[in-house]
Amino acid sequence: MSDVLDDILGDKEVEVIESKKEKKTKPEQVIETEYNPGVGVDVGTSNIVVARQKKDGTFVNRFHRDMLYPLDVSDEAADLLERSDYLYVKVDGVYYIVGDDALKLVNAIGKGEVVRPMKDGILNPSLKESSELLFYIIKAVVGSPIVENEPLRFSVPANPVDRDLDNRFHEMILKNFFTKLGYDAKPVNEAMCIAYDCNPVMKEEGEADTPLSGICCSCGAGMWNLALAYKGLSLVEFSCTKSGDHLDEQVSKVTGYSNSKVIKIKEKKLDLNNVDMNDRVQAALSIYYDEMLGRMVHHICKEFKEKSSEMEGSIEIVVAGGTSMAPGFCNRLEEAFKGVNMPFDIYRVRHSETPFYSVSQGACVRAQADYSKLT
Amino acid sequence: MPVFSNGKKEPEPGRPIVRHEVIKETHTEQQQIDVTALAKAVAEALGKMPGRGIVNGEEYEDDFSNAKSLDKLADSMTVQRGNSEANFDDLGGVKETKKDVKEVNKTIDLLRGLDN
Repeated sequence: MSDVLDDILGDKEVEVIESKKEKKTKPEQVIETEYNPGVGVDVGTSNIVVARQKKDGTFVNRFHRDMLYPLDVSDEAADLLERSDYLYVKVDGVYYIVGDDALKLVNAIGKGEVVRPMKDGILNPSLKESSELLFYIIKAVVGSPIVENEPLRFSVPANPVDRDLDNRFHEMILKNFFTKLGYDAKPVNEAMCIAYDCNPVMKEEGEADTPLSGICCSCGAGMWNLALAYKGLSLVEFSCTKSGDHLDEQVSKVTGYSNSKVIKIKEKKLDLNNVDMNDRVQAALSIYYDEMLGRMVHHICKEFKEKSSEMEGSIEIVVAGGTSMAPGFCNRLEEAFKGVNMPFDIYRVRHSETPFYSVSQGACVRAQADYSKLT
Repeated sequence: MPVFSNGKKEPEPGRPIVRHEVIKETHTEQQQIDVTALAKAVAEALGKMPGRGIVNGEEYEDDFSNAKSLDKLADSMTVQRGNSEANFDDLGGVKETKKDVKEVNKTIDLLRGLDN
Protein backbone atom coordinates (compact mmCIF):
# COMPACT_ATOMS: atom_id res chain seq x y z
CA MET A 1 0.00 0.00 0.00
CA SER A 2 1.36 3.39 -0.89
CA ASP A 3 2.99 5.92 1.35
CA VAL A 4 0.14 8.31 0.51
CA LEU A 5 -2.41 6.31 2.46
CA ASP A 6 0.09 5.55 5.18
CA ASP A 7 0.40 9.27 5.61
CA ILE A 8 -3.35 9.79 5.77
CA LEU A 9 -3.77 7.06 8.30
CA GLY A 10 -0.57 8.10 10.05
CA ASP A 11 -0.35 8.91 13.74
CA LYS A 12 -3.95 9.79 14.43
CA GLU A 13 -5.07 6.71 16.27
CA VAL A 14 -4.73 6.55 20.02
CA GLU A 15 -4.09 2.86 20.15
CA VAL A 16 -3.29 1.41 16.80
CA ILE A 17 -1.94 -1.97 15.95
CA GLU A 18 -0.50 -1.79 12.47
CA SER A 19 -0.60 -4.73 10.17
CA LYS A 20 -0.21 -5.19 6.46
CA LYS A 21 -2.23 -7.63 4.49
CA GLU A 22 -0.98 -9.67 1.60
CA LYS A 23 -2.88 -8.72 -1.52
CA LYS A 24 -4.05 -12.15 -2.51
CA THR A 25 -4.74 -14.01 0.70
CA LYS A 26 -8.15 -15.19 1.86
CA PRO A 27 -9.19 -13.74 5.23
CA GLU A 28 -12.40 -15.69 5.70
CA GLN A 29 -11.01 -18.57 7.75
CA VAL A 30 -9.43 -16.19 10.27
CA ILE A 31 -12.62 -14.11 10.44
CA GLU A 32 -14.77 -17.11 11.30
CA THR A 33 -12.96 -17.76 14.56
CA GLU A 34 -12.15 -14.27 15.79
CA TYR A 35 -14.94 -11.86 14.97
CA ASN A 36 -18.35 -10.88 16.29
CA PRO A 37 -21.06 -11.16 13.61
CA GLY A 38 -22.03 -7.76 12.19
CA VAL A 39 -20.07 -5.80 9.60
CA GLY A 40 -19.97 -2.07 8.87
CA VAL A 41 -19.13 -0.58 5.48
CA ASP A 42 -18.28 3.04 4.80
CA VAL A 43 -18.97 3.50 1.10
CA GLY A 44 -17.16 6.78 0.60
CA THR A 45 -16.45 8.87 -2.45
CA SER A 46 -12.73 8.49 -1.87
CA ASN A 47 -12.33 5.26 0.11
CA ILE A 48 -14.18 2.07 0.93
CA VAL A 49 -13.65 1.06 4.56
CA VAL A 50 -14.98 -2.18 6.05
CA ALA A 51 -14.99 -2.75 9.83
CA ARG A 52 -15.39 -5.89 11.91
CA GLN A 53 -14.90 -6.20 15.64
CA LYS A 54 -12.96 -8.93 17.38
CA LYS A 55 -14.25 -10.44 20.59
CA ASP A 56 -11.59 -8.52 22.60
CA GLY A 57 -12.99 -5.19 21.33
CA THR A 58 -10.40 -4.51 18.61
CA PHE A 59 -11.85 -3.11 15.41
CA VAL A 60 -10.24 -4.43 12.25
CA ASN A 61 -10.67 -1.98 9.36
CA ARG A 62 -9.91 -2.91 5.77
CA PHE A 63 -9.65 0.04 3.44
CA HIS A 64 -9.10 0.69 -0.21
CA ARG A 65 -8.89 3.80 -2.34
CA ASP A 66 -11.98 4.22 -4.43
CA MET A 67 -10.21 5.50 -7.51
CA LEU A 68 -8.97 4.17 -10.82
CA TYR A 69 -6.70 5.15 -13.68
CA PRO A 70 -7.89 4.13 -17.15
CA LEU A 71 -5.49 2.65 -19.70
CA ASP A 72 -6.70 1.73 -23.18
CA VAL A 73 -6.02 -1.88 -24.07
CA SER A 74 -2.83 -1.99 -26.13
CA ASP A 75 0.35 -4.03 -26.34
CA GLU A 76 2.15 -1.39 -24.24
CA ALA A 77 -0.56 -1.47 -21.55
CA ALA A 78 -0.55 -5.29 -21.49
CA ASP A 79 3.24 -5.24 -21.20
CA LEU A 80 3.12 -2.71 -18.34
CA LEU A 81 0.59 -4.82 -16.45
CA GLU A 82 2.57 -7.98 -17.01
CA ARG A 83 5.78 -6.44 -15.68
CA SER A 84 4.16 -4.73 -12.68
CA ASP A 85 2.03 -5.92 -9.79
CA TYR A 86 -0.70 -3.39 -10.48
CA LEU A 87 -4.21 -4.54 -9.65
CA TYR A 88 -6.70 -3.87 -12.38
CA VAL A 89 -10.22 -4.36 -13.65
CA LYS A 90 -10.81 -4.72 -17.37
CA VAL A 91 -14.20 -3.44 -18.48
CA ASP A 92 -15.33 -2.63 -22.01
CA GLY A 93 -11.86 -2.69 -23.54
CA VAL A 94 -10.27 -0.47 -20.90
CA TYR A 95 -7.90 -1.47 -18.11
CA TYR A 96 -8.60 0.38 -14.87
CA ILE A 97 -5.69 0.36 -12.42
CA VAL A 98 -7.32 0.35 -8.98
CA GLY A 99 -6.53 2.06 -5.70
CA ASP A 100 -3.40 3.92 -4.67
CA ASP A 101 -1.56 2.63 -7.71
CA ALA A 102 -3.94 4.77 -9.81
CA LEU A 103 -2.80 7.89 -7.97
CA LYS A 104 0.86 6.87 -8.20
CA LEU A 105 0.59 6.16 -11.91
CA VAL A 106 -1.15 9.41 -12.81
CA ASN A 107 1.47 11.36 -10.86
CA ALA A 108 4.29 9.40 -12.54
CA ILE A 109 2.91 9.71 -16.08
CA GLY A 110 1.95 13.34 -15.54
CA LYS A 111 -1.11 13.30 -17.76
CA GLY A 112 -4.73 12.28 -17.46
CA GLU A 113 -6.71 12.12 -14.24
CA VAL A 114 -7.91 9.34 -11.96
CA VAL A 115 -11.57 8.40 -12.32
CA ARG A 116 -13.97 7.82 -9.44
CA PRO A 117 -16.86 5.34 -9.43
CA MET A 118 -18.43 7.59 -6.78
CA LYS A 119 -19.10 11.31 -7.06
CA ASP A 120 -20.66 13.64 -4.50
CA GLY A 121 -21.45 10.71 -2.21
CA ILE A 122 -23.34 8.57 -4.74
CA LEU A 123 -22.58 6.50 -7.86
CA ASN A 124 -20.87 8.67 -10.45
CA PRO A 125 -23.50 9.27 -13.15
CA SER A 126 -20.94 10.56 -15.66
CA LEU A 127 -18.90 7.34 -15.58
CA LYS A 128 -20.64 4.67 -17.62
CA GLU A 129 -19.00 1.74 -15.84
CA SER A 130 -19.28 3.21 -12.32
CA SER A 131 -21.48 0.52 -10.78
CA GLU A 132 -19.43 -2.34 -12.20
CA LEU A 133 -16.12 -0.85 -11.10
CA LEU A 134 -17.40 0.00 -7.64
CA PHE A 135 -18.75 -3.49 -7.12
CA TYR A 136 -15.46 -5.11 -8.06
CA ILE A 137 -13.80 -3.02 -5.37
CA ILE A 138 -16.51 -3.53 -2.74
CA LYS A 139 -16.68 -7.27 -3.30
CA ALA A 140 -12.93 -7.58 -2.92
CA VAL A 141 -12.80 -5.49 0.28
CA VAL A 142 -15.91 -6.80 2.05
CA GLY A 143 -15.40 -10.55 1.59
CA SER A 144 -17.96 -13.19 2.57
CA PRO A 145 -20.38 -13.30 5.52
CA ILE A 146 -19.20 -15.24 8.58
CA VAL A 147 -22.70 -16.41 9.50
CA GLU A 148 -25.73 -16.94 7.32
CA ASN A 149 -27.48 -13.64 6.55
CA GLU A 150 -24.93 -11.75 8.60
CA PRO A 151 -26.19 -8.23 9.39
CA LEU A 152 -24.36 -5.56 7.42
CA ARG A 153 -24.84 -1.82 7.69
CA PHE A 154 -23.60 0.40 4.88
CA SER A 155 -23.33 4.17 5.15
CA VAL A 156 -25.51 6.41 3.01
CA PRO A 157 -25.50 10.18 2.85
CA ALA A 158 -28.52 12.31 3.70
CA ASN A 159 -29.98 14.27 0.80
CA PRO A 160 -27.99 17.45 0.23
CA VAL A 161 -29.31 20.93 0.96
CA ASP A 162 -27.35 22.54 -1.86
CA ARG A 163 -28.31 20.29 -4.78
CA ASP A 164 -31.40 18.57 -6.14
CA LEU A 165 -30.18 15.02 -5.56
CA ASP A 166 -32.02 11.96 -4.30
CA ASN A 167 -29.93 9.12 -2.89
CA ARG A 168 -32.65 6.44 -2.76
CA PHE A 169 -31.58 4.73 -5.96
CA HIS A 170 -27.93 4.67 -4.87
CA GLU A 171 -29.08 3.08 -1.60
CA MET A 172 -31.07 0.41 -3.44
CA ILE A 173 -28.14 -0.46 -5.68
CA LEU A 174 -25.84 -1.00 -2.71
CA LYS A 175 -28.44 -2.93 -0.71
CA ASN A 176 -29.04 -5.20 -3.67
CA PHE A 177 -25.36 -5.82 -4.16
CA PHE A 178 -24.64 -6.68 -0.51
CA THR A 179 -27.69 -8.96 -0.46
CA LYS A 180 -26.24 -10.80 -3.46
CA LEU A 181 -23.06 -11.34 -1.44
CA GLY A 182 -25.16 -13.10 1.23
CA TYR A 183 -25.59 -10.33 3.80
CA ASP A 184 -28.70 -8.99 5.49
CA ALA A 185 -27.92 -5.43 4.43
CA LYS A 186 -29.45 -2.20 5.68
CA PRO A 187 -28.46 1.43 5.18
CA VAL A 188 -27.40 3.68 8.03
CA ASN A 189 -26.94 7.43 7.94
CA GLU A 190 -23.25 8.29 7.62
CA ALA A 191 -23.24 11.00 10.30
CA MET A 192 -25.13 8.81 12.76
CA CYS A 193 -22.35 6.21 12.45
CA ILE A 194 -20.07 8.75 14.11
CA ALA A 195 -22.50 8.95 17.05
CA TYR A 196 -22.39 5.15 17.41
CA ASP A 197 -18.58 5.14 17.29
CA CYS A 198 -17.76 8.26 19.34
CA ASN A 199 -20.73 8.54 21.71
CA PRO A 200 -21.23 12.31 21.99
CA VAL A 201 -23.04 13.34 25.19
CA MET A 202 -25.40 16.11 26.22
CA LYS A 203 -24.75 17.77 29.57
CA GLU A 204 -27.48 19.13 31.81
CA GLU A 205 -26.97 20.68 35.21
CA GLY A 206 -27.68 18.21 38.00
CA GLU A 207 -28.34 15.37 35.54
CA ALA A 208 -26.27 12.45 34.31
CA ASP A 209 -24.84 12.85 30.80
CA THR A 210 -27.27 11.81 28.05
CA PRO A 211 -25.46 9.30 25.77
CA LEU A 212 -25.49 9.27 21.96
CA SER A 213 -26.69 12.89 21.91
CA GLY A 214 -25.02 15.70 20.01
CA ILE A 215 -24.07 16.91 16.55
CA CYS A 216 -22.09 14.48 14.42
CA CYS A 217 -20.32 15.62 11.29
CA SER A 218 -18.68 13.35 8.74
CA CYS A 219 -16.44 15.35 6.40
CA GLY A 220 -15.84 13.13 3.42
CA ALA A 221 -14.47 13.71 -0.06
CA GLY A 222 -17.76 14.16 -1.90
CA MET A 223 -19.97 15.48 0.88
CA TRP A 224 -20.05 16.48 4.46
CA ASN A 225 -22.92 14.86 6.36
CA LEU A 226 -24.42 16.13 9.55
CA ALA A 227 -26.90 14.73 12.07
CA LEU A 228 -28.37 15.90 15.34
CA ALA A 229 -28.62 12.80 17.52
CA TYR A 230 -30.61 12.28 20.70
CA LYS A 231 -30.24 8.98 22.58
CA GLY A 232 -29.19 7.28 19.36
CA LEU A 233 -32.07 8.64 17.30
CA SER A 234 -31.52 11.01 14.42
CA LEU A 235 -33.59 14.18 14.88
CA VAL A 236 -32.24 16.17 11.93
CA GLU A 237 -29.92 15.05 9.13
CA PHE A 238 -28.68 16.72 5.98
CA SER A 239 -25.60 16.96 3.79
CA CYS A 240 -23.79 19.41 1.55
CA THR A 241 -21.97 18.38 -1.62
CA LYS A 242 -19.06 20.81 -1.54
CA SER A 243 -16.45 19.04 0.56
CA GLY A 244 -12.93 17.64 0.07
CA ASP A 245 -13.14 17.08 -3.68
CA HIS A 246 -14.53 20.57 -4.12
CA LEU A 247 -11.52 21.96 -2.25
CA ASP A 248 -9.16 20.04 -4.53
CA GLU A 249 -10.92 21.22 -7.68
CA GLN A 250 -10.97 24.86 -6.64
CA VAL A 251 -7.33 24.81 -5.58
CA SER A 252 -6.40 23.06 -8.82
CA LYS A 253 -8.18 25.79 -10.79
CA VAL A 254 -6.53 28.72 -9.04
CA THR A 255 -3.01 27.26 -8.83
CA GLY A 256 -2.82 25.36 -12.12
CA TYR A 257 -1.70 22.16 -10.36
CA SER A 258 -3.46 18.90 -11.23
CA ASN A 259 -6.03 17.49 -8.80
CA SER A 260 -3.73 14.57 -8.03
CA LYS A 261 -0.87 16.91 -7.04
CA VAL A 262 -3.21 18.95 -4.86
CA ILE A 263 -4.41 15.78 -3.09
CA LYS A 264 -0.82 14.74 -2.47
CA ILE A 265 0.11 18.10 -0.92
CA LYS A 266 -3.11 18.22 1.12
CA GLU A 267 -2.49 14.78 2.57
CA LYS A 268 1.26 15.03 3.08
CA LYS A 269 2.08 18.62 3.95
CA LEU A 270 -0.93 20.70 4.97
CA ASP A 271 -1.15 21.76 8.64
CA LEU A 272 -4.00 24.20 9.25
CA ASN A 273 -2.34 25.30 12.51
CA ASN A 274 0.78 26.31 10.64
CA VAL A 275 0.21 26.92 6.94
CA ASP A 276 3.25 27.47 4.75
CA MET A 277 2.00 30.56 2.91
CA ASN A 278 4.98 30.43 0.53
CA ASP A 279 3.47 27.27 -0.92
CA ARG A 280 0.70 28.40 -3.29
CA VAL A 281 -1.23 25.13 -2.96
CA GLN A 282 -1.18 25.17 0.85
CA ALA A 283 -2.20 28.84 0.91
CA ALA A 284 -5.12 28.16 -1.42
CA LEU A 285 -6.14 25.06 0.56
CA SER A 286 -6.19 27.11 3.76
CA ILE A 287 -8.49 29.70 2.15
CA TYR A 288 -10.87 27.09 0.77
CA TYR A 289 -10.95 25.18 4.08
CA ASP A 290 -12.13 28.39 5.78
CA GLU A 291 -14.71 28.91 3.05
CA MET A 292 -16.01 25.35 3.51
CA LEU A 293 -16.18 25.64 7.31
CA GLY A 294 -17.99 28.98 7.08
CA ARG A 295 -20.53 27.39 4.73
CA MET A 296 -20.90 24.42 7.07
CA VAL A 297 -21.66 26.63 10.07
CA HIS A 298 -24.10 28.69 7.99
CA HIS A 299 -26.06 25.58 6.95
CA ILE A 300 -26.04 24.15 10.49
CA CYS A 301 -27.60 27.36 11.89
CA LYS A 302 -30.07 27.65 9.03
CA GLU A 303 -31.28 24.04 9.11
CA PHE A 304 -31.62 23.82 12.89
CA LYS A 305 -33.44 27.14 13.09
CA GLU A 306 -35.81 26.19 10.26
CA LYS A 307 -36.60 22.88 11.92
CA SER A 308 -36.89 24.54 15.36
CA SER A 309 -34.46 21.96 16.79
CA GLU A 310 -34.08 22.42 20.53
CA MET A 311 -32.02 20.62 23.14
CA GLU A 312 -32.32 21.20 26.86
CA GLY A 313 -28.66 20.85 27.69
CA SER A 314 -25.31 21.76 26.31
CA ILE A 315 -24.18 19.52 23.45
CA GLU A 316 -20.99 18.20 21.98
CA ILE A 317 -19.97 18.30 18.31
CA VAL A 318 -17.99 15.28 17.09
CA VAL A 319 -16.16 15.47 13.78
CA ALA A 320 -14.67 12.68 11.65
CA GLY A 321 -13.92 11.82 8.01
CA GLY A 322 -10.93 12.09 5.69
CA THR A 323 -11.37 15.81 5.01
CA SER A 324 -11.22 16.53 8.77
CA MET A 325 -7.80 14.88 9.07
CA ALA A 326 -5.74 17.95 8.23
CA PRO A 327 -4.12 19.00 11.54
CA GLY A 328 -5.92 22.03 13.00
CA PHE A 329 -9.28 21.29 11.34
CA CYS A 330 -11.25 21.30 14.62
CA ASN A 331 -9.59 24.52 15.83
CA ARG A 332 -10.71 26.22 12.62
CA LEU A 333 -14.23 24.83 13.07
CA GLU A 334 -14.41 26.15 16.64
CA GLU A 335 -13.29 29.55 15.34
CA ALA A 336 -16.01 29.46 12.67
CA PHE A 337 -18.66 28.91 15.37
CA LYS A 338 -17.56 31.95 17.41
CA GLY A 339 -20.07 34.78 17.32
CA VAL A 340 -22.69 32.63 15.58
CA ASN A 341 -26.13 32.49 17.15
CA MET A 342 -26.93 28.78 17.48
CA PRO A 343 -30.29 27.44 18.73
CA PHE A 344 -28.51 25.50 21.50
CA ASP A 345 -25.34 25.62 23.58
CA ILE A 346 -22.23 23.81 22.43
CA TYR A 347 -19.74 22.85 25.10
CA ARG A 348 -16.97 21.55 22.86
CA VAL A 349 -15.89 20.37 19.41
CA ARG A 350 -14.21 16.96 19.57
CA HIS A 351 -12.24 15.21 16.83
CA SER A 352 -12.81 11.47 16.60
CA GLU A 353 -9.81 9.48 17.85
CA THR A 354 -10.05 7.42 14.67
CA PRO A 355 -11.42 9.93 12.13
CA PHE A 356 -10.79 7.77 9.07
CA TYR A 357 -12.58 4.76 10.57
CA SER A 358 -15.42 6.27 12.61
CA VAL A 359 -18.09 5.73 9.95
CA SER A 360 -17.20 2.08 9.30
CA GLN A 361 -16.82 1.32 13.03
CA GLY A 362 -20.12 3.04 13.87
CA ALA A 363 -21.84 1.06 11.13
CA CYS A 364 -20.26 -2.11 12.55
CA VAL A 365 -21.61 -1.30 16.05
CA ARG A 366 -25.07 -0.81 14.54
CA ALA A 367 -24.80 -4.12 12.66
CA GLN A 368 -23.80 -5.91 15.87
CA ALA A 369 -26.87 -4.43 17.56
CA ASP A 370 -28.94 -5.87 14.69
CA TYR A 371 -27.36 -9.28 15.27
CA SER A 372 -27.94 -9.11 19.03
CA LYS A 373 -31.67 -8.68 18.36
CA LEU A 374 -31.65 -12.05 16.59
CA THR A 375 -29.99 -13.97 19.40
CA MET B 1 -67.78 -21.52 -27.11
CA PRO B 2 -66.61 -20.31 -30.58
CA VAL B 3 -68.78 -18.07 -32.77
CA PHE B 4 -68.87 -19.14 -36.43
CA SER B 5 -68.92 -17.02 -39.56
CA ASN B 6 -72.71 -17.26 -39.79
CA GLY B 7 -72.83 -15.47 -36.44
CA LYS B 8 -74.23 -18.54 -34.72
CA LYS B 9 -72.77 -20.93 -32.24
CA GLU B 10 -73.41 -23.89 -34.61
CA PRO B 11 -71.44 -24.20 -37.89
CA GLU B 12 -73.29 -23.56 -41.16
CA PRO B 13 -74.01 -26.93 -42.77
CA GLY B 14 -71.49 -27.91 -45.44
CA ARG B 15 -68.90 -25.27 -44.55
CA PRO B 16 -65.52 -26.26 -43.16
CA ILE B 17 -64.84 -25.43 -39.58
CA VAL B 18 -61.95 -23.03 -39.24
CA ARG B 19 -60.54 -22.73 -35.78
CA HIS B 20 -58.70 -19.56 -34.86
CA GLU B 21 -55.85 -20.21 -32.52
CA VAL B 22 -54.50 -17.55 -30.27
CA ILE B 23 -50.81 -17.47 -30.94
CA LYS B 24 -48.70 -16.39 -28.01
CA GLU B 25 -46.07 -14.05 -29.22
CA THR B 26 -42.63 -14.68 -27.84
CA HIS B 27 -40.07 -12.06 -28.49
CA THR B 28 -36.61 -12.15 -27.01
CA GLU B 29 -34.32 -9.30 -27.70
CA GLN B 30 -30.81 -8.82 -26.44
CA GLN B 31 -29.90 -5.21 -26.04
CA GLN B 32 -26.92 -3.39 -24.72
CA ILE B 33 -28.36 -1.27 -21.95
CA ASP B 34 -26.47 1.68 -20.62
CA VAL B 35 -27.38 1.04 -16.99
CA THR B 36 -25.64 4.13 -15.66
CA ALA B 37 -27.60 6.37 -18.02
CA LEU B 38 -30.70 4.51 -16.91
CA ALA B 39 -29.83 5.08 -13.27
CA LYS B 40 -29.19 8.74 -13.93
CA ALA B 41 -32.53 9.11 -15.67
CA VAL B 42 -34.28 7.36 -12.80
CA ALA B 43 -32.47 9.45 -10.20
CA GLU B 44 -33.52 12.61 -12.03
CA ALA B 45 -37.06 11.36 -12.31
CA LEU B 46 -37.38 10.44 -8.64
CA GLY B 47 -39.87 12.57 -6.86
CA LYS B 48 -41.13 13.97 -10.16
CA MET B 49 -42.93 10.96 -11.59
CA PRO B 50 -46.36 10.35 -10.16
CA GLY B 51 -48.57 7.58 -11.53
CA ARG B 52 -47.46 4.25 -12.88
CA GLY B 53 -44.14 2.70 -13.70
CA ILE B 54 -43.31 -0.36 -15.79
CA VAL B 55 -40.28 -2.44 -14.91
CA ASN B 56 -39.48 -5.69 -16.72
CA GLY B 57 -42.99 -5.73 -18.14
CA GLU B 58 -44.63 -5.44 -14.73
CA GLU B 59 -46.72 -2.42 -13.98
CA TYR B 60 -46.63 -0.73 -10.60
CA GLU B 61 -49.22 1.60 -9.21
CA ASP B 62 -46.72 3.80 -7.48
CA ASP B 63 -43.92 6.07 -8.72
CA PHE B 64 -40.23 5.18 -8.46
CA SER B 65 -40.26 5.60 -4.72
CA ASN B 66 -41.96 2.21 -4.76
CA ALA B 67 -39.37 -0.07 -3.20
CA LYS B 68 -40.29 -2.97 -5.50
CA SER B 69 -39.70 -1.04 -8.69
CA LEU B 70 -36.43 0.42 -7.43
CA ASP B 71 -35.28 -3.00 -6.31
CA LYS B 72 -35.93 -4.45 -9.76
CA LEU B 73 -33.89 -1.72 -11.37
CA ALA B 74 -31.12 -2.13 -8.83
CA ASP B 75 -31.07 -5.86 -9.53
CA SER B 76 -30.64 -5.26 -13.25
CA MET B 77 -27.66 -3.05 -12.54
CA THR B 78 -25.70 -5.43 -10.36
CA VAL B 79 -25.12 -8.03 -13.06
CA GLN B 80 -21.51 -8.08 -14.07
CA ARG B 81 -20.86 -8.37 -17.74
CA GLY B 82 -19.14 -11.49 -19.02
CA ASN B 83 -16.27 -9.73 -20.72
CA SER B 84 -15.09 -8.02 -17.54
CA GLU B 85 -12.17 -9.32 -15.54
CA ALA B 86 -10.03 -8.42 -12.54
CA ASN B 87 -6.66 -9.74 -11.39
CA PHE B 88 -7.55 -9.76 -7.68
CA ASP B 89 -9.84 -11.59 -5.26
CA ASP B 90 -9.49 -9.35 -2.28
CA LEU B 91 -8.11 -5.92 -1.63
CA GLY B 92 -7.11 -3.50 1.00
CA GLY B 93 -4.76 -2.55 3.76
CA VAL B 94 -5.68 -3.39 7.34
CA LYS B 95 -5.63 -1.15 10.38
CA GLU B 96 -6.66 -2.21 13.87
CA THR B 97 -7.94 0.17 16.52
CA LYS B 98 -8.62 -0.73 20.12
CA LYS B 99 -11.89 0.11 21.84
CA ASP B 100 -13.21 -0.53 25.31
CA VAL B 101 -15.52 -3.56 24.95
CA LYS B 102 -17.75 -2.39 27.82
CA GLU B 103 -18.34 0.99 26.19
CA VAL B 104 -19.14 -0.61 22.84
CA ASN B 105 -21.51 -3.08 24.52
CA LYS B 106 -23.32 -0.19 26.27
CA THR B 107 -23.89 1.44 22.89
CA ILE B 108 -25.09 -1.87 21.41
CA ASP B 109 -27.57 -2.25 24.27
CA LEU B 110 -28.94 1.24 23.62
CA LEU B 111 -29.23 0.57 19.89
CA ARG B 112 -31.04 -2.74 20.40
CA GLY B 113 -34.08 -0.74 21.39
CA LEU B 114 -34.23 1.20 18.14
CA ASP B 115 -36.56 0.07 15.37
CA ASN B 116 -34.41 0.20 12.29
